[in-house]
Amino acid sequence: MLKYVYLAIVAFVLALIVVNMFRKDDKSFKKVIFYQIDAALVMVTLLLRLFLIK
Amino acid sequence: MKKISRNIISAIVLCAIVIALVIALAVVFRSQKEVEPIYPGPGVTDIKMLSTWFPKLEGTAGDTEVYILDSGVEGASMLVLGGTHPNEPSGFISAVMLIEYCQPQEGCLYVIPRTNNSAFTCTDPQEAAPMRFYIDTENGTRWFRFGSRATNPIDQWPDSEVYVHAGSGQTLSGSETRNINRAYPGREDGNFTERVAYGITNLIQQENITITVDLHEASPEYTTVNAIVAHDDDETMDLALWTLMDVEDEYGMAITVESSPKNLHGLTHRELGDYTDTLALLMETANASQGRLHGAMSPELVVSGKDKFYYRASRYGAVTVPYSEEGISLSERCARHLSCIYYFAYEYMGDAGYLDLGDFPTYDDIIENGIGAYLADPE
Repeated sequence: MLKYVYLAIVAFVLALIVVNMFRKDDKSFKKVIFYQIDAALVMVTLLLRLFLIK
Repeated sequence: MKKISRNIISAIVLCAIVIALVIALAVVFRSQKEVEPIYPGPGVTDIKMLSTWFPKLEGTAGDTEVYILDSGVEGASMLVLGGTHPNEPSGFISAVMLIEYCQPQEGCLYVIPRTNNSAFTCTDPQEAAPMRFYIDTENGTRWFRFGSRATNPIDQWPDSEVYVHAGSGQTLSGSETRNINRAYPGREDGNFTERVAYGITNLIQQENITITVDLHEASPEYTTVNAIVAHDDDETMDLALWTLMDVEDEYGMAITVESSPKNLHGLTHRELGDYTDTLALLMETANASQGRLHGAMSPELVVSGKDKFYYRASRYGAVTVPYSEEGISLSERCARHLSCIYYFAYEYMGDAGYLDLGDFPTYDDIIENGIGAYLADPE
């Protein structure tokens, strides 16, 4: 049961990250792209766990 | 406006890269679920699943094959547990050798090559461990998985902060929650790992297993290595000590016998001896690929056991076993396990009758010819 609670948390965090990646931002593009790359790297690990691959 | 659209384009491109990466990684990680072939030899009379003794395991990653080598002559029985920790390959390979080569003449041999089946499907994080290693046989090369010490977190997640052993209340690090050799005797309604342990305990009880041998490896700097750990009842200690004298006399094989600590719970040599009538024994060999001092990790290191950093450490007295420039090969580690298994059977003189494992290679034979000489050729 706890496993599914944790998976729900992972899905929620993943959704926040994706929404955040697409939000409007006043910062320079150079800054934004580095934040987006950081977010993408986190997404890989979260997706692997969400789909119970790793 | 232009700035916002660039952000969105980069986000879309990065999401596409993430999806491609996840697909590529999924293919790699899933490949470890492919099961290496084991070719049952002439001694195998039946193959059952562990769920036969605990039906709740059926269809789960914890269900695992139990090979039965019944001589047809009444006598004692032995259960060999390989792959308790799939990052300790000599236990797994010794179990495979028994399945493919051994033909008992009296009594019955049970072999579980992948005791923690789930742990074969992943590797330990941050160890740079290979997913597979290779052994040459007479007519080809066999591949085997190099797995993890613990159950795959996909099958049991999350770990608790502190692991509490159900039978004793002993507390250990949370990561031990997935270590099957801290879960015995197991629980019917416990977590995944405890349920697998419970299945094995059921098998031992229902089949009246006379002797249980759990095969392990440890790093060369560990203190309990090149050792037999025996449950502290007189009959088990006698069996271990007679075996020690036999292998020292016959092969000059240095080995120690240690008594199972009373206050270290969850291990086979403690709990199976306490909760069942089996004579519970555990063996440890020295595996350089498992230690903290080795150089680059590779399939070759797993098989050759040869590492220049361990050799250097041995000259400073930092390892607890003799470690030459040639290392400690997988063949030598399997030879230690198999020689002791042979003598455990040979020396058993209890009420259950005799256990004769039949024609069996000696310690010297296995080292000279290599363990691959006693495995089946790949099909």
